[in-house]
Amino acid sequence: METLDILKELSNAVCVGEINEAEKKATEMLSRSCEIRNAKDGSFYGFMDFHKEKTLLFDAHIDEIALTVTAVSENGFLKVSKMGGIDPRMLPAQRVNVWGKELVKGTFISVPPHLKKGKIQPTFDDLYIDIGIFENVAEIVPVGSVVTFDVESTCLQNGFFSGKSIDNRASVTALIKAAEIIAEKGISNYNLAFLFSRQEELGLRGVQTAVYDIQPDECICVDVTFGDLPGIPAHKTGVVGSGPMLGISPILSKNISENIKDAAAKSDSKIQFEIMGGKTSTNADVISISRSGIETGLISIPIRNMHTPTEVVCLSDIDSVANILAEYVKGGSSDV
Amino acid sequence: MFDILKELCEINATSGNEAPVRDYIISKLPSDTKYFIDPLGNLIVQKLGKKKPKNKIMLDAHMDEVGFIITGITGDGFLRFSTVGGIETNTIISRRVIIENSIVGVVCSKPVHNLTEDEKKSPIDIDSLYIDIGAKNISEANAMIFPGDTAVFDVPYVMLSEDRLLSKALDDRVGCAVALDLILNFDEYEYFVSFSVQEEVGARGARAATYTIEPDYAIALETTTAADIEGVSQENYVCELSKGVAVSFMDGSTLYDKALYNETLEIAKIKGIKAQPKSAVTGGNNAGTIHLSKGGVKTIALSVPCRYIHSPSSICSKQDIESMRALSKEMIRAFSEK
Repeated sequence: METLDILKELSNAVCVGEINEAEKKATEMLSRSCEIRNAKDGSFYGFMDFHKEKTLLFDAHIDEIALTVTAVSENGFLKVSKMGGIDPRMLPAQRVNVWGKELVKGTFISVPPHLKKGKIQPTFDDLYIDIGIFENVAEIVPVGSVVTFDVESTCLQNGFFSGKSIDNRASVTALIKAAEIIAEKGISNYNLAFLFSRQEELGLRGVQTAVYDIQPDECICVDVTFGDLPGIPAHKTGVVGSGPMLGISPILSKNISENIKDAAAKSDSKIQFEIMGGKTSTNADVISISRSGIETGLISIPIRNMHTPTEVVCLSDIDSVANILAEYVKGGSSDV
Repeated sequence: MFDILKELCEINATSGNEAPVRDYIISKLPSDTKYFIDPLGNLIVQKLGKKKPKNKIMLDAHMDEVGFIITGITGDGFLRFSTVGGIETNTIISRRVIIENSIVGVVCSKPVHNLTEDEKKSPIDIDSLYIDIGAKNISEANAMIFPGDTAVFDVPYVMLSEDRLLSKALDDRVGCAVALDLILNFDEYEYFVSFSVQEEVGARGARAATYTIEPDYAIALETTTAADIEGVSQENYVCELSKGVAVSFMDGSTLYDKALYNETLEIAKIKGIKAQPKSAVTGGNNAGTIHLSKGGVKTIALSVPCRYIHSPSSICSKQDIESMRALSKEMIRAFSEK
């Protein structure tokens, strides 16, 4: 499948809470390359049995940031709480999909400037959703309904792509592509698991129970990281389009990091470095301390406008991740 | 009328670049309609009627929507921009825009993880915002975008329910749709329609159009802020959706003739047309320049209540738009016979 086609479909689909549209689509795509299994907690992962001694797990979380309805006002407006990190400053007049008893469209309100009472930036207490219906709203949208951003993805110039949930559908796409390449070439020094973990945005949760069950010997986590933007010091970001970022941190495996570097060189893939002093704020943080510990590496795709409906990624960076992973499995640290 | 409204809202045309709206309107006019385009780009239509009115009447609706203008390009190929018309920065960040009807971009937003505590609480400065079109560098961007190019929000027109519609540019494609519908269907009396330019940058087109037409009476067809939303107390609503067309007694640029204002509400009552006073002195519209033309023009403003005006997600009620059309007809009749 074309990278763009995979990403487009997954970016536009939803996966959070009880809505698992994107998970279904991603699993179907992955099933074309390998067997699909369920971990005990219900998460899906692909499995390739190469009859090797060790199992290498690739993880990409499939959930997205969203909101949940906490109350319905008398006037039919929805009060919400965030599910994952959302900047309330960008919510006024933002279009949403509300997954109630039926799917309804709506918008966050925007308070006219002269009524703001000196409050410069809104908080979740002021940010209601208007769905254009004022009768029976509580029936149509029960408390607890999930709310996601309503945006259709689009292509920009130069193989750049913008839409919602590029965090982390870009990584899911990379895993699907990697599986395709590996299945085609048929070479691997490991048995492979491709995990689409859940509830990362709520606190790195789903991967804990899934990995406990799968018990891999090594793991590479694929996530997104901060891309370059005017106004952010260059040393704090990666350059979108200049390759994925290899994570270097005290909590990550030096062996795996070295091997990723080698795999990048061997596959002629551009790579950048993201150096952190401790925890990475990705699933790698919890995978590495699963059971008795698992050697873990991290590859992150640089994106702009993280956690907004207008995230931006470069498709070639996703392809680079797939190529690096396909190369990695040929060697890796089979002597670890 | 609502099919036309959808098509009008989906046209991208900010102040100074109203041609696509003007072309669309012209394409809908019957072939024998008298019209001309003035030096600023206003489209002035003379609607012939069965009866000659005792007074010269002008309707006005502005064709421009709020938007953005590209002011420069950074070394990395990001676009700097200013707003055209008043738009709050909270509704600009993290949105998609379309530049000169062809190039899509997104307004960047510094991830909250990179903000200082002060930055989180301060107003967002437009100078800190950039549009990303995916250009690799300045020369690539320069080949596609020229300083002075304009952009608007890139969002679809959506029906939220049978009555409520959600779109950009309801201000003032609603006025344009009503005026165009009258031209197509109401010919009892002769009247003029000014589809005007540059309202959002100072009610400028209407000033010139009014000078040219020299009306005795003018009706501004507009939208106005409805703040009937959660978190605002009732007395601050300004006007409410589905409670009828809002009639203004005063706003930031006009003190409306009290007798005319009262007469308008009275006629609405008698004819069973839902109408409400605009219960705040806020905003301004083309009536501001219309009523001061030459020696003065008797002017009223009819506005459809609009939530989240000047954002990509405005909401209006279909009923209110129909009320504005109905009341406009009655006021044309009333002014024609005075």
